[in-house]
Order: sequence, then C-alpha cells, then structure tokens
Amino acid sequence: MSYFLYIASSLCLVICQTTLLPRLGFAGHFFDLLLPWVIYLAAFRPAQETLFFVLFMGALMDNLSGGPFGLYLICYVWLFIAVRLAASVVRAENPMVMALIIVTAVAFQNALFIMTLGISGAGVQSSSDVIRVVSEQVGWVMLLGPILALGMRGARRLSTRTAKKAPGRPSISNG
Amino acid sequence: MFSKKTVLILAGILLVTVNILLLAITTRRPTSFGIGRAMIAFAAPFQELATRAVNAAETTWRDYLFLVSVSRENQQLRQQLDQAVQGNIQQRELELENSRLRELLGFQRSLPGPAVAAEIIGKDPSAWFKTVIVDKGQLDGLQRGLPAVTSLGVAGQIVEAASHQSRLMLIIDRNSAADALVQRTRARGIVKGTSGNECYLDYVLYEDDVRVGDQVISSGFDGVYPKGLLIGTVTAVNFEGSSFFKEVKIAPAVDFDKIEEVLIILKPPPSPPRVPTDRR
Repeated sequence: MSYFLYIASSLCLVICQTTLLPRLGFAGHFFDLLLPWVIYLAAFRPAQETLFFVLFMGALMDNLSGGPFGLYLICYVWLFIAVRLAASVVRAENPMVMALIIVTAVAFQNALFIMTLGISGAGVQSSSDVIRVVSEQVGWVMLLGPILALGMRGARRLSTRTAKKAPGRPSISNG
Repeated sequence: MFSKKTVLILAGILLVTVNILLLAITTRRPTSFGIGRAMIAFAAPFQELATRAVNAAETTWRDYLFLVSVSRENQQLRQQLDQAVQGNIQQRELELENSRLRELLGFQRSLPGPAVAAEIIGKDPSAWFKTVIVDKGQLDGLQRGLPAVTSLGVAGQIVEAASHQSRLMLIIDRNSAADALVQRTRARGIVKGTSGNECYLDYVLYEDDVRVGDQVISSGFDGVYPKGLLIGTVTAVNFEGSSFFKEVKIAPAVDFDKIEEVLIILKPPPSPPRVPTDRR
C-alpha cells in the first residue's frame, strides 16, 4: 500500500512538473517538486522502506531529463542521506527547520547541477541566466516552503496516528 | 305596573323601530355621526402595521421563491454559458491546431523524406536542460538521431526512443550541436545551444562576413539535419582581435516556449557529396 502511494504521488508530481507547470507562464523556473517528497521520505519514513523508492524516482527523473543520467539519482541519494543525518540532529518536524531544509535542498540541487555542467564541459549558461534560474527557484521555494513544511508535519502526524491504530504494525520512527 | 314579559316585548319593538329609523335616515343621508374619524384614527395605524407586516412577509416569501427560481435559472444559464465558452475555446483550439497541422503538412511535402508528426507531451523537469517528450516512438519508426523540424525551422533531434514515446533534444540544449551555414555568405559554423532561449554559431572564422539579421541554415554536413532548413537569425556578432573566431549569437527560428508539434523526418538526409573546401 505504501509503495502504491509513493508511486502514485511521485507520478502526480512528475506529471505536474513536466506537463502542467510549463503551461503556467507565470511559474517561470519552478523548483523540482520531487525534492520535498524525497525530504519527507528521508526525514519521516524508515530508510529500508524508502531508499529503493528514492532510487526509482532519481532514475525516473533522469530518464525524463536531458541531463547526464544519474544527476537526479545522485542528487536524491545525497539529499536522502543528508536529510536523515540532519533529522537525527535537529527536530525535522519543526516547520521552520523543515522549510530551511527544503530551501537548502533546492539550493543544493542547483549547485550540484551547475557544478556537474561545469565539470562535464557542457558549459553553463550566462551568469545572468544562472542567477535568474536559481533566484526564481529559490524564490518559489521560500514562498511555498513553509506551507510544504506544515503539510509534511500534518502528513507525518496522520501517518503516525494511522500506524498506531493499525494493530500488529510497527510504529514509524525516524530510524 | 307592567309585567316583565311586557317590558321585554316593548323594548324589542322599540329597538326594531330605532333600527328601521336609523337605516331609513342613513340610507338617505350617509353619516357617521362624528365617531367615524376617531375610530379610523385609532384603528388605522394598527391596520397599516398589520398590512405592511403581512405584505412584507408575503413579498419576502414571494421574492424568496422567485429568487430561488431565478437562482436556479441563473445557474442553468451560467452552465450553458460555460459550456458555450468551453465549446468556443475548443473550436478555436481545433482551428489553431488544424492551421498548424496544415502548415506542417504543407511543409512536410517539401522535406527530403517521409515524416511523422508528433505532439509534445512533456517538457524537461530541469531548468538546465532543454528536452521534450513526444508522443511517437519506435513503433512509429522513430530512432535515435532523427531530426525534428517545424514549419519555422529546425527543432532538434531524437536522443532516445521508447516504444510509443521519444525524447527530443532541442537545438537550444547545451548538448546540442548542428553544422550550419550563414545563408548569405555561406560562412560555416557549428550551432550550439545554451539551454537558454538562444544559440551560438561557433567556429566562424574572423574573416567571414556575418552580419546581424543574416539567416543561418543547416548545412547537412552533420548527417542529422537535412540541408537548407532554417535554424535562426543572427542577433549579435562579436569579435575580439586576439581570437580566430567570431562570436555569433543566434535567435532560433522556432519559438521553443510555444512549440506543440514537430515533424520527425524518418529518413536521415543523404550524406552530402565530399566537396573539398578551402575554408577549413
């Protein structure tokens, strides 16, 4: 059931990102919608349940993107690891902390992409384009980050309650 | 003196007589004997109040019922209007699509080989790359390396073909490169994307005559794009004295923000004859 939910959610996000968002002219360069999803899975779901799925999402995005294969995969895996580590130190359920993590993740993804493009020799766009793309993405995530963080906290509480109600199921923990 | 019975009979007769007289008088000369106005003045305010209250209640009820029916009617009319607007939009979309497809069909006849029209169904999830997903794949004859064009010019090439869909790398992608010519002077160069909305014509020799406004076309030498397809228009030419090459900026002919359909040329262009050139 969880896997079905994960796959359905990520497909919805991917479709939204590749089909609907480009049609919204005002959206400009929107941030990667799967990032908050990866962060949520990393912070609040067991690793053994979600790691495979994170790999799947990375591969899916790599196949839909024109970038070198593995770029998204690497980005998601590193993000997954970093968020899990961060969640063991800070209280990820705090919306402020979570919003900060999401903003950092978007910045991290852009930095990784720019770095990879620079290293691969494909060349990076002009600095004005880079600034525009990154600032638009960071702007969007700063605007929506707190809402996403609150949503994540709600989802986390809901899933915890559901797990407690279901008899014979282990409760969800950060580990 | 009189018995009680006699008094009652006399009183009855008197009352009847007075009534007859009163009726006879008032029938001939209508009058209220001064008490009419007082009674009216007393009762009228209450009557008015009651009447108004009843009227108000009646009006409210009638209006409410009326509004309910009007509201229903309004809703129905709105639905009809929405449907009409939606139908109008769909019709307009069909007209536009028809026009675009006619244009593509006309253009298809001028292409060197058979072509398949494909619709763009998804765009690259990343802002750093410019690829799109089209709704035709290997089963439609598509394979890696086939060129995609529109009636306006070169769009890109297929980089991955699945059974029913393919990934198309646009010429504005940073990984894209196409051999090109400046149409006016035949100066050669390589068109490279920037992943922005512009391209560069690289490796244009410093002595080549290239001006703003010149049209850049595919040369056919790369074995991907047929010769003579419009790529874009020169928008800027820069030259630093120390360099061998000019920096030529191109605005692509295709508006990649609005692109919806492309034609994939199935047969790769024939290899151009080996012509010795004194340029390179």
